[in-house]
Amino acid sequence: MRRIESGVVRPGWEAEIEAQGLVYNKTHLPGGEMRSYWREGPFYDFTMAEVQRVESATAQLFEMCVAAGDHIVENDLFDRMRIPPMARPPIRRTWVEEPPSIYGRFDLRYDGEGPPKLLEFNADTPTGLVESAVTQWNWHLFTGQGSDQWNALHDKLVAAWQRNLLKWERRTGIRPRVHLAWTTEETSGEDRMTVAYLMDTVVQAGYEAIELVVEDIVLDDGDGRFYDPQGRHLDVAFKLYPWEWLIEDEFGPAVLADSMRPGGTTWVEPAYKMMWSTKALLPILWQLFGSDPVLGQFLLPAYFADEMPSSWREYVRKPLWGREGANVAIVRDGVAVTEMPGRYGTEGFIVQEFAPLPNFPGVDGPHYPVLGTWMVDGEPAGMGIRESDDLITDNLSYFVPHTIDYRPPRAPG
Amino acid sequence: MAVSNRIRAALTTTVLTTAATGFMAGCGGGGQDEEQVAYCTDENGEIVDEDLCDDDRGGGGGLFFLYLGGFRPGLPVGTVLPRGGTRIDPRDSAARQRAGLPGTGKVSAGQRVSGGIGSGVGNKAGTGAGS
Repeated sequence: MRRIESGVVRPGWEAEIEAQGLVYNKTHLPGGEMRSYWREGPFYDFTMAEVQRVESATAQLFEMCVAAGDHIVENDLFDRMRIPPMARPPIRRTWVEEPPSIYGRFDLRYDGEGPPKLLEFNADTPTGLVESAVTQWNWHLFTGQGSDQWNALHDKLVAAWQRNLLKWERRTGIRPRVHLAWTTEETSGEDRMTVAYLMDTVVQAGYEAIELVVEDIVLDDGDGRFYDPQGRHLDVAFKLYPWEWLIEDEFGPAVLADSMRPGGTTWVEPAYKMMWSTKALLPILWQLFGSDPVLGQFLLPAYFADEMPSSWREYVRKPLWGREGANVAIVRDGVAVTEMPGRYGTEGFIVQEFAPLPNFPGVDGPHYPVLGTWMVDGEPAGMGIRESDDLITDNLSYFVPHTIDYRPPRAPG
Repeated sequence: MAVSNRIRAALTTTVLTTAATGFMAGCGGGGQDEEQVAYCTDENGEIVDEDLCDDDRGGGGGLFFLYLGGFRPGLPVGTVLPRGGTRIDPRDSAARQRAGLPGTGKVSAGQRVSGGIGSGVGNKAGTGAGS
C-alpha cells in the first residue's frame, strides 16, 4: 500500500465528477472556504495480495458480526446496547427471517503491513457509495492507472436487488416496487445522489424504483400502512435514514408495528442493522473474538466505558450512536486531547484501543487514510478510501481513489 | 481473482446523472415525487412575509400568492423562486385544500404539505443521515 502523489489530473475533472453524480464535491469549510472532497491526482495503490488480505479480513469481520448478532439475540443484550424495547421484536424477527439487506461498509485501519483492524461498521445507512462505485471507477477507466481496482460494487448491487427482490416476490406473490427515500434535512446532495444511484441498480435489476423523501411518507391511520404521496403502498422501502432516528420519530412506533404485520412495508436495511450500526457492537466483538488467534487480529480491544480496564490511559472514546466522528475523543494519559463536537454521548460510550491511523505523508502534509470496505448482500464488494489531515476521520475528510498494481509511466527517452 | 465489475466500461447510471444535472441546475428537489413546499410570494415569485397571504387578514388580493413547488424549506424573505411552481390564490379555499394546504389562515413559510418521518428528535443531530 502506498500513496502516489502525482497521478493523472484529468482536464475538466471537477465538472465531470459533478455531472457523474458527485454533486457534493465542493465542501464548505467552517471558515467559509471551499474545497474539493475528491482528490484528483493522488491515489493509493495496492498489490493484489494486499487487496486479497483486506478482502479476506472484510469477509471474516462480517462472519464475526453475524455470530455477534446471534449472541446478542440469544443473550438479550439489548439493554446493555441501549436499544429501546420497542425495537427489539422487529430486530429479533428480521434477524430470523432475513429480509432484504443490500449493503454496509466497514471502516478499517490498514497500513499495508499488519492485519486490517476494524474501526467500526456502518451497517445501516452508509454513504460514500457514489464516489466508491461510480466516481473512482470512471477515474480508473479514464486515467488507465493501475491494472485494476477493487470495485465490483455495481455488479454486486444489481445482483443483490435481483436476489433479494425475487425472494420477496416468491414469498408474497407480489412483484414489489421499491421506494428509495432520503431526508431533505441533508442538503449537500449526497443522500439524494446515493438514492439516485441505488435507483439505477434497482432498475437494472429489473424492478420499478420510485424516489421519495422520508418527510413525504404517509401513514394511513385507518389501515396503519405506509404510502407515498401518490397513494402507492410502500412494499419495499430503502431508507437512507437511520433506524435510531426513525424509531424516535412520530411514526416510529407505527413503522415498527406495520413491519411486524403480514403485508407490511419491508424496510431496507432491516431493523436488525441496529445491532451492528451501534458502537456497542465493538466491545461485543472483542469479548467474543478478542482472544481468537486468527480473528482477534482484525479487532482492536474495545469495552463498554464502564468496563474499561483500570490500566487504560490511552484510548478512543466513541458515543454508542455517533455519526461522522461526532463526539469522538482521543484520550491520552487519561485526558481527552482531541474531542469532536456533537450532540451524542448521553446514550453512553464505548472505549477502543488507540491505534493511530498510519500516515502517508505528502508534500502538503500528513495523510491519514481509512479504508471503507463494502459488503453487498453478504459479500465483500469493493473499497473506498477517505483520508484526513488529522487522526479523526470526520465529514471534512477527502475521498482518494485507489488502484491495484500500478506501474508508473516510463520517463521519455 | 476478479475483484472488479465484469465489464470494464463506464457504468450506465441514467437516474444518477439526471439527478446530478438537475441538482447542479439548482433544482434540489426530487422529480415528480419531490417534496412540495409552499411560500407566500408576490407576482414575481419573490418570497414575502407570510402574513401577506393570510386570508383572514385580507391577504392575497391578487397581489400575493401561495406558491407551491419543489423548493427547499426555510428560504428567507426576498428569495426569488424559480418558475414552474403552482400559484394559488390564498382566498380560494378549495384550491388551497386541493394542494394539501389548510383551507384558511396563514401558511407558514416552507410548510410541508405532507408530513411524515424526519421531523423527530433523532433528525436534529447536525450531521448527515449517512455514516
